[in-house]
Amino acid sequence: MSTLYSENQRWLQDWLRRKLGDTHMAADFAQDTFLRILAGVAKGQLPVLHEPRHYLVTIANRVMVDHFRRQALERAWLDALALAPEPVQFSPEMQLAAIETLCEIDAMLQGLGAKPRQAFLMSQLEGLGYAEIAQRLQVTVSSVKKYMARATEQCLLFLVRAGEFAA
Amino acid sequence: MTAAGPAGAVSAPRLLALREAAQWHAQLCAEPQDAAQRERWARWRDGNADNQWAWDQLERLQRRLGSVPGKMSAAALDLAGSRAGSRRAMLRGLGGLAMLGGGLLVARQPVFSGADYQAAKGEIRPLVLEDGTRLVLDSGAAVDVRYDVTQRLVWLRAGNVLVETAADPARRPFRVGTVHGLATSVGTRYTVRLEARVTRVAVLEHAVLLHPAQAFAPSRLIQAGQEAVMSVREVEAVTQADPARALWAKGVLVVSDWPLGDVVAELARYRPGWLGCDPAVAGYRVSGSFPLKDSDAALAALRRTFPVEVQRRTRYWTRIVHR
Repeated sequence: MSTLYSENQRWLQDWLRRKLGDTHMAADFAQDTFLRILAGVAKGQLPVLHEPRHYLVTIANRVMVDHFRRQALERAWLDALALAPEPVQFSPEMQLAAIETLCEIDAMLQGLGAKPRQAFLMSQLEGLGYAEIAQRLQVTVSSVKKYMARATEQCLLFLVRAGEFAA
Repeated sequence: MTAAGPAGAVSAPRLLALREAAQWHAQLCAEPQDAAQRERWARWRDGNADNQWAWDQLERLQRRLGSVPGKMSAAALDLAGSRAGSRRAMLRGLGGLAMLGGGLLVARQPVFSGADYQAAKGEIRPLVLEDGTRLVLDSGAAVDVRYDVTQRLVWLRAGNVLVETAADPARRPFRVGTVHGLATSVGTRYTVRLEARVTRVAVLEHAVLLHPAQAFAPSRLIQAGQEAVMSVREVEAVTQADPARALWAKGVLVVSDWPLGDVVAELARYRPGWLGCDPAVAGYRVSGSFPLKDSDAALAALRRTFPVEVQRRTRYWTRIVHR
């Protein structure tokens, strides 16, 4: 790990700087990339490194995507807050916890189609019935049920696998 | 966690139990509830240890979902979902996103207090409105969103906005208004830029109807590929639109044979502080693309191509002069 770091830290930072056009962000992302690899090693995930730089770039891309995704969710949360029909007050801690959980829910639903995703959110977060969801999505009630089953299964798998790594 | 089987993987019976739990959940969320069905579900759950384990996982999931304010979270996830698309799409577009991301890091200074949405100087801000219409606010833009039963109105208080309207089930017209008049569309993509004396509308797809603000002023239909200049009184000029002009929404300025002075003026709109150009060099013709989020890089590129020097008095005062 320390060889990986000392031999490639500079190179990764340059690669990120070229991609992002920003030195500070590049330094932050490079740091986060090595931290993530280190966290994986701590959980017993030892990468077999034939091409360490290729591996670094893969992890760095994931780190960046997660970062921008989180930023998009934060922004969306603030927009939702602003769009709420009645003014809502949250303490900073509550906001942080909510955004954390939103990121997790978002990750669980990642890769699902738009309709299963929406059906799941409408049912589980908004508390709408299947008939109304079907109407809003312009699909049949039996499709809504299928979407729900698929989305729920994906969430359960995510939760269980995340639990494994935490063990 | 007890979830991990040998080799850290979930065992096949457990995978099956998870699938069945998901199907039961989907069934039980449906209305109306049926006593016989609940009984069948209870029999399934108590049928074996894997099923019980799977249902425990489902309850864990529900606790997690129940820990956030539902409606707000659904709205936020919905907004974020339609904005960003899939993770793979994000990876593909990472260049552009990185620039947008940089924009979000800029300290936000309110340019227009009280506007519903605004973008700080240097920020390019994408938004999705309640009907799915997408707006991208350019640096310094400020808009109010006023939807009612008769229309979907976005009032442009300042700056430049890119619009991609979504179809409305209620068939309400979509309009961007400025002090100079209204631009009405029914499902199209266009930009509206408010300047001191006029409003410029460039149509990228379909068509937009312009109504100057003054009573009895004639309306005019602008087709895709056209750009119009609208004053309070009339639609003054209609010219060929430059499709590259809309690329600001992706954080890029693309110019072809522009005077250097215009390029610098455009970059200045995104740069905190003052950025100007000596008239002696303003006439150089420039073609190329420049990152709007990184005007230092853009200026460095100009310096490499033309005999000019970038003069910096302070971080906030920059001038392009002859070398």
